[in-house]
Amino acid sequence: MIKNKIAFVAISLIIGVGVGCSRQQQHTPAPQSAGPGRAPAMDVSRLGKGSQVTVPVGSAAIKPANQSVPSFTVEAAKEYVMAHPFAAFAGGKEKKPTITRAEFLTSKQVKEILRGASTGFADDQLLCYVELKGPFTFSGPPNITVTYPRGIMIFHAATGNFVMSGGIP
Amino acid sequence: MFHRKVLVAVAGVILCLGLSGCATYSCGGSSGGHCYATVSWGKGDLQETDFRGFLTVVTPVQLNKGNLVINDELWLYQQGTNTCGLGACWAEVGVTSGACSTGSDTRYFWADNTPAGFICRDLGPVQPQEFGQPTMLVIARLINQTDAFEVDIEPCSRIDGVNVPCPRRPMTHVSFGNPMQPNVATIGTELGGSSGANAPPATFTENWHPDHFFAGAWVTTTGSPQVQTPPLQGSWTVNPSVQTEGGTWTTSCCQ
Repeated sequence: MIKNKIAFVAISLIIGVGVGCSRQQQHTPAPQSAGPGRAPAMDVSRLGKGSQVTVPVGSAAIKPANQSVPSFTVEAAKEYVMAHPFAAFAGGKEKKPTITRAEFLTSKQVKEILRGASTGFADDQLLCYVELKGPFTFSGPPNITVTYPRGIMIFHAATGNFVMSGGIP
Repeated sequence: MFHRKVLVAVAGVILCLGLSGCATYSCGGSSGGHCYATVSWGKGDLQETDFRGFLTVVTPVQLNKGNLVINDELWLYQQGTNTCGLGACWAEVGVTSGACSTGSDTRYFWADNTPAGFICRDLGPVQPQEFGQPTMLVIARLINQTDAFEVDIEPCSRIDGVNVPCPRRPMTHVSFGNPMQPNVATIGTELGGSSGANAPPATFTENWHPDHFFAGAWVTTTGSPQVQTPPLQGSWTVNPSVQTEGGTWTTSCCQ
């Protein structure tokens, strides 16, 4: 019974991962079987199955001023950023990061700035992109940090939600 | 007026002590120095020649970031390289209070550090019915892709397919332009800041690593634990070396 279940989930895994990845590359791998001694008791057949990349929801930040898109102004975004300093700023306690760029851009344009990194949004989704002069430091896995000269804060143009942040070279 | 202030202060201290959420600790700040309650496996530990990914199942708990951040998460990364912002390349996914969000509630997030920079995405709050239920975390290289990794969070799901009493809610993402050749996978808790954080015990189970063919194996070794106690606690509560589905790594904070 257990062997049957393992075999079932192994097949599900192989098919599921193949389907999940095909949306990226239209490639379906040839079925493979698990080797002896392995324990592929895993059902990931539903992972990414024909689904689109999920968009970041973000958290409430800039209050929309109207029902249109964008629902707030660049000035409102700047005010928000200055009132809520980016915690990753590593330029010293006495200093504050300065805004060097703030504008509404499509997700595609943001993606180009981020050298192809995923925003999760459709290309035509309007976002508010704010760039700051750093440095900014981010913690990763144990004992690993990385520092970048520029910081970014990105807001959804319709909801005003804070959806993405980070540092760039 | 003076008495009122004193009363408020005393009440605050009592509440603080009662909640055990006001402990002070030294876990760095926004620029690093964070504390960890983690366990890591190198590709050698897992006898992987092609380390393609790692999966774990975490039970989201109510996290309180205190004055900075606390996460329960999975990292997959390449140690010993400087190709990503003059540092390691990585992807991470999990549950947070304080990372890349404006509030202090408990939320899902994922982030990656690639040559394009470090970017963190806020995926929204953990739903009430999802607390304490298994949530699958996945980071795995896309087949035949040299620089793309699928990063998934799937609340109310187990790897072994056993039913969970809440609706599945798969969230799929891709870390593009990520050139890492992973050599370490880490699970556990990260804490940054100096006071006020709190996290009841969370478990990481069904620890699993896929191989080149996306078949794979449960983790059977205890890896390399790194636990900064206090303020964090972390231990194997079910040893993965026995016949289990990848053991149970349990962490908590500041209690």
